[in-house]
Amino acid sequence: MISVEKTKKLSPAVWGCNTSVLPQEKRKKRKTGDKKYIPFLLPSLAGVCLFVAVPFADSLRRSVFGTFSGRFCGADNYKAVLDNAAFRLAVKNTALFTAVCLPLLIVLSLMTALILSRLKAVRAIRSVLLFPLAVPTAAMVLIWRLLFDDHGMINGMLDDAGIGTVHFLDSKAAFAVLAASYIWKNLGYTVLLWLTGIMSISESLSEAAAVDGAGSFGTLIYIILPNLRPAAYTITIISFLNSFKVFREAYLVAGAYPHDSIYLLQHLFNNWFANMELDKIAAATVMVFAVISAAVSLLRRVWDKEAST
Amino acid sequence: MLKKLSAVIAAALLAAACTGCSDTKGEKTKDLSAEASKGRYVEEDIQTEELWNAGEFANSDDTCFADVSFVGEGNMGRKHILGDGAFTAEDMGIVLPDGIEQMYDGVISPEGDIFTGCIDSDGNFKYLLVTKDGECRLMEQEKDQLFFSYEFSADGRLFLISGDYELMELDTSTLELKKLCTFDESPDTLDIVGDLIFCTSVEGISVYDISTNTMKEPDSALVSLWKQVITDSDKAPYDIFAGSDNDLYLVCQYGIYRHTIGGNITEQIVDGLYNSLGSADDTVRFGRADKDGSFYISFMNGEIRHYRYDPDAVNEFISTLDIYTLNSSQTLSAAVRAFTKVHPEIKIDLNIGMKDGMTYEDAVKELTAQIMSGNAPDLIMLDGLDKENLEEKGMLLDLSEIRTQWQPEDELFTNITEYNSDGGLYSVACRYAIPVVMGKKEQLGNSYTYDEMVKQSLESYSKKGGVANEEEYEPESFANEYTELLTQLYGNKMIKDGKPDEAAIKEYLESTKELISKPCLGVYCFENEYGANAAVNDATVIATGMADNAADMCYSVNALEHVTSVRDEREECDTILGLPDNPNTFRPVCELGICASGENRDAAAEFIKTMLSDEVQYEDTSEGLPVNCESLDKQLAKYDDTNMTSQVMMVDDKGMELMFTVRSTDEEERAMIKSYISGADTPVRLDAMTESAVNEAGACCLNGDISPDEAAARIRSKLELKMKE
Repeated sequence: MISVEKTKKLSPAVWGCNTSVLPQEKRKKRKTGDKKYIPFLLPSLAGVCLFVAVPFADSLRRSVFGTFSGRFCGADNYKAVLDNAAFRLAVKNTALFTAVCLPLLIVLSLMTALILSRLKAVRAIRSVLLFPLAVPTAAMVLIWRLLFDDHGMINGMLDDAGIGTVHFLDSKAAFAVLAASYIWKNLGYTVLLWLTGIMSISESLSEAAAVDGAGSFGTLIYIILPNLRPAAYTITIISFLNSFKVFREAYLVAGAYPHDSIYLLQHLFNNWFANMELDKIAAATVMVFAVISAAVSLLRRVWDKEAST
Repeated sequence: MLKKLSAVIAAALLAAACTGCSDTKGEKTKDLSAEASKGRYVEEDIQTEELWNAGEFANSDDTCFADVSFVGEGNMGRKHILGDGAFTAEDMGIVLPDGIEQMYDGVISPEGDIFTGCIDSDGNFKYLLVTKDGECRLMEQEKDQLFFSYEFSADGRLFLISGDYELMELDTSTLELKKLCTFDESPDTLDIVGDLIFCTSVEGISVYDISTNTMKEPDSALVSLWKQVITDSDKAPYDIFAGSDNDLYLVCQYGIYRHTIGGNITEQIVDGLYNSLGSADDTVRFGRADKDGSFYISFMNGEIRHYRYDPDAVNEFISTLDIYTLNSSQTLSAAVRAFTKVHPEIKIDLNIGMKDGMTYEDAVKELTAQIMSGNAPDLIMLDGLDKENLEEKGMLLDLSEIRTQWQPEDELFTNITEYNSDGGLYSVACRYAIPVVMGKKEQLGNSYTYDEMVKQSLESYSKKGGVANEEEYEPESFANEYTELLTQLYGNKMIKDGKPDEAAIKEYLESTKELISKPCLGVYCFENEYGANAAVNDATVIATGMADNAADMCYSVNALEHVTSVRDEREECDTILGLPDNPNTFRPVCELGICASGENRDAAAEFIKTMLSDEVQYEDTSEGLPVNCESLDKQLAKYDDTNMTSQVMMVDDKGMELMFTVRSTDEEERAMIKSYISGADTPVRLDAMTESAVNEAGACCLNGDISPDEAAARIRSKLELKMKE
């Protein structure tokens, strides 16, 4: 068994610290060097400005003006959104969905990745992991229906077993179905990200740990997991954002007004758009943006803090 | 670095080029509206004599188009349209075999042989071949063998489609039939272009190559066009015909389209929106291309029209009227035609939201985007849209000030057109449907409820001892239709002030569920060829004694004639207008609103005037009854001069043929109809989302998936969610 004292004596490289230190001169050059990289940044910068920054600025403007009257209305739209029961329901459901699915996905995918990383054929398996992402949403929805419809396969089996029909898509069970769908779709991709992180850890670290007497568990806790911190940050952010993209499936299966438990923010935005409630959408967008930005910043800070310690 | 950059640019250019190529390679239909405005096809009536029995056009020589019909005492004759458009009838002097009383759908070979369907004195369908020398021979056929369609090829061979979906060839010398192939689907017409036989149905096209005696894949562009204008829009009346060279033409309600066989483009060359092709009264029957590039089209009502390209016709538009509708509408198309005649200077841009496979949700979002981006249409047909929301958002113009524009000229049922004028008039209903109840006289009292009607149906069912086709009966197939009917009849009672009345919903669904658990009972509702009115079918079922009562909506005068004729056939039965337990109701349809931000509001108001005019309202569509009093009177009196009656045949559960004679309404019935319409004051109209929520949950309940309680709760949940938003 490896002791804490022992690990403290391990070389800095074993701790997964960044050992690639740039020479002072090079660092200086990068700071004061020419701006050749700027042309390469411009296309994407222009795209972001055109398709993200400008529309968001417009949303910001609209959020304080009446859509049809065009008059400045201050925080009225924000107040209307916060007073809106559908918004509160959608926020609650979206937050619950993220709170349930995000940890579940991260833990499940990490466990799967750790198991797969021990297999020799891991490189061959990697491409298979992306299959769920390659399945078109329409096809996936079809499969959903085949499985979870009132006359679907699962209900057929439940009927045979004498349990009776479960209205998967029009009852509280819809939440579980949606969560399962999200995890199924994103698991492979997330596993792949973890695998990339695991495989990028130098084998010499594990070997050094083994030499120092670390077992499998010790290597996992003291070598692999600390080295996966940057990957974990990326995975958390991506999975968090992906949890907002589950709307397509929910919408295609249950329509614009699904069961209360899977009524998400995107349903609300979708319906508000159809009903021309643009001022509400704008105010809600700004609020959601603020919350997501705050969450991401918080995560970043926590991560940075962790890294620095 | 430079090399890499060049490679990226080259790759991007290549990708762009590929995108461009793929666009031109894909099949597509060129829309006429995109064409330049100089030169267009003009429509001309070429004769007024009605050709009810007209067969498919065929040219037996260079100067005439001929169709075959019965002329004189036992003789056969031909009716010609000469090259200059004049019309003549000629007695061919051919004596027909004994017993032949009627002829229909004749075709002529290039050599002059005629093949025609006929009916003998016993009502049997026969087929007759008359050679160019005047020899007249009846074809020997198997018992009950029918042919849906037949045509001569350019080399004089005769091909037929049998009732068993077989493509056959008839040897004109021996009259022997030879089977060529069998189709999976049921083709109902056959047309020959060169060596290719096109067998078509609403579902699709099959092609048979005569030269190789094999089936052939139809061109993808043609398949795509077919799907777009025939299958998806369910526009059954159509014809395809050969043109010069390798051209194939399709004529349907949307216009005339050209496709070059083997090509990947189809082109609309005549737009049905602006002429009789799109008319509900004049659905197309057969088409023929002339050598000069013009077309002759015959219509179901027996008329024939000529479409000639006029290079000098110049369309000089001074403004555009943008009209939006979720679904195509025959009334709207009729109004477009009438409006264009009076205002040729105004171009009409008709935008149908749910075409090309667009879903309801997407269509609504597209309209929202259109409005929000400042490109609002001038006029919106509000059927299926959330009118209340548009009104609330100030998108619709208050028509109170301009209603006088159409009021003085035509007397309208303003209780219908302006049914929602409280606090401003934001829409005008241009048509409507009224409910009817048919049943035993003693039952049709003041307190006759839906629940009682269902109970009576069940009693009469048990007295009759069930129905034979029970095994084939699937209640699920009727669930959607029944729910939709319920919404139309009792929607105002199911939803009150936007809130669902769960008890009422539960009660209606429970009754209906019981009703559809038994086949061949009361409320029948499926589309039929007599005007897509379920009431027509209900009336037939009751008149022939197969059921004792029914409630339904009448969307046409034709349907009203059916339901009022029930009493002639069964003395113990009668018809009442309106529902005793939901009196004075009507369902407004074809509602028009003017967009407050539209650019051409004057033209939009003028269009509403056209829509309410006698010319448009008189057109007999199955979309609803006329709101114009004069048009209603004229429609009701349409057959007074001819005293015309029609017969509907139905086969009962024991295979017996039952006939139902439908007559025109009498004075008393007309007074009853007008009195009901004048007093109708309760609209049954749910907003689109509510109607969809009720229909979805209702259908699930009737299917047996959920209980009436669960259905009511599901509707409540959805509506609450909507209200929360």
